[in-house]
Amino acid sequence: MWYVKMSYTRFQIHVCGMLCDFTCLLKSKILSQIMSTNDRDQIIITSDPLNVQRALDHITIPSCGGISIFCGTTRDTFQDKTVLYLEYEAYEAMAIKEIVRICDDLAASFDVRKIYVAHRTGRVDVCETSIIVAASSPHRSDAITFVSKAVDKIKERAPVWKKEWYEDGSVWKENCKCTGPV
Amino acid sequence: MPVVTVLYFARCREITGKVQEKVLLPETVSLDNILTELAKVHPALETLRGKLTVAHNQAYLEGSVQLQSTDEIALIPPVSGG
Repeated sequence: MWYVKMSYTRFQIHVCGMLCDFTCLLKSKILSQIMSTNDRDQIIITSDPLNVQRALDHITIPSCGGISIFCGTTRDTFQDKTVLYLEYEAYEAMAIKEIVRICDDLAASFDVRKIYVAHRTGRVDVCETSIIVAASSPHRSDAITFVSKAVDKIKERAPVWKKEWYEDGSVWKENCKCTGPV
Repeated sequence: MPVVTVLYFARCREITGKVQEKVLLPETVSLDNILTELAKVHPALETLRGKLTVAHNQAYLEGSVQLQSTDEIALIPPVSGG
């Protein structure tokens, strides 16, 4: 009899009662990550912690003198409640496509040469980053405006959900559809 | 009538107790009649009517569409990414 049991730290195959144990083997395969990439864009949905240096590595190029990066992080309070952590869930395949659509639409109006978007899934503790939106342009205004508008659109349209966890329960959040002042 | 895969996320997943299932849906569907059909299977989804939207093959459904049995439908509760 064959069966496979997987967890975050263990990978076991039981074969005819014999146990083969590959501890820690498959963490990277079990943790979820989906990516769309081309010369201009890197769009990532991942359960791994986000790393702003990866955004910089992708968007820093000789022709661009302006880089704008937005990092959304978990805040420790909501109104009078203490927030313990956020838990994100995504319709990953569609979220990637929707973010690509948003970036393509906005890139038609702004001279951005490189774009990086990463959204995290799973538990995101206070001060940890749940989203990075970054872009580079020859001059700063295009990168800054692009990032601001992209964040608004992603929050409005990307099929991603967050549950806010408190000491006494949890709530599914709903983003406001109103966009920022830019 | 096609049997299509329906995906449930967030509140919808909790209400239905399912991540996905196969559902018999009409050949031509819109947001309204998809919700009506799915609420027959999961009556508690009616509590979210007015808040839900639908994705068809990983894009927001606008108007109506002819379904194929290979299609993917997803119920999309209010989003809260970022």
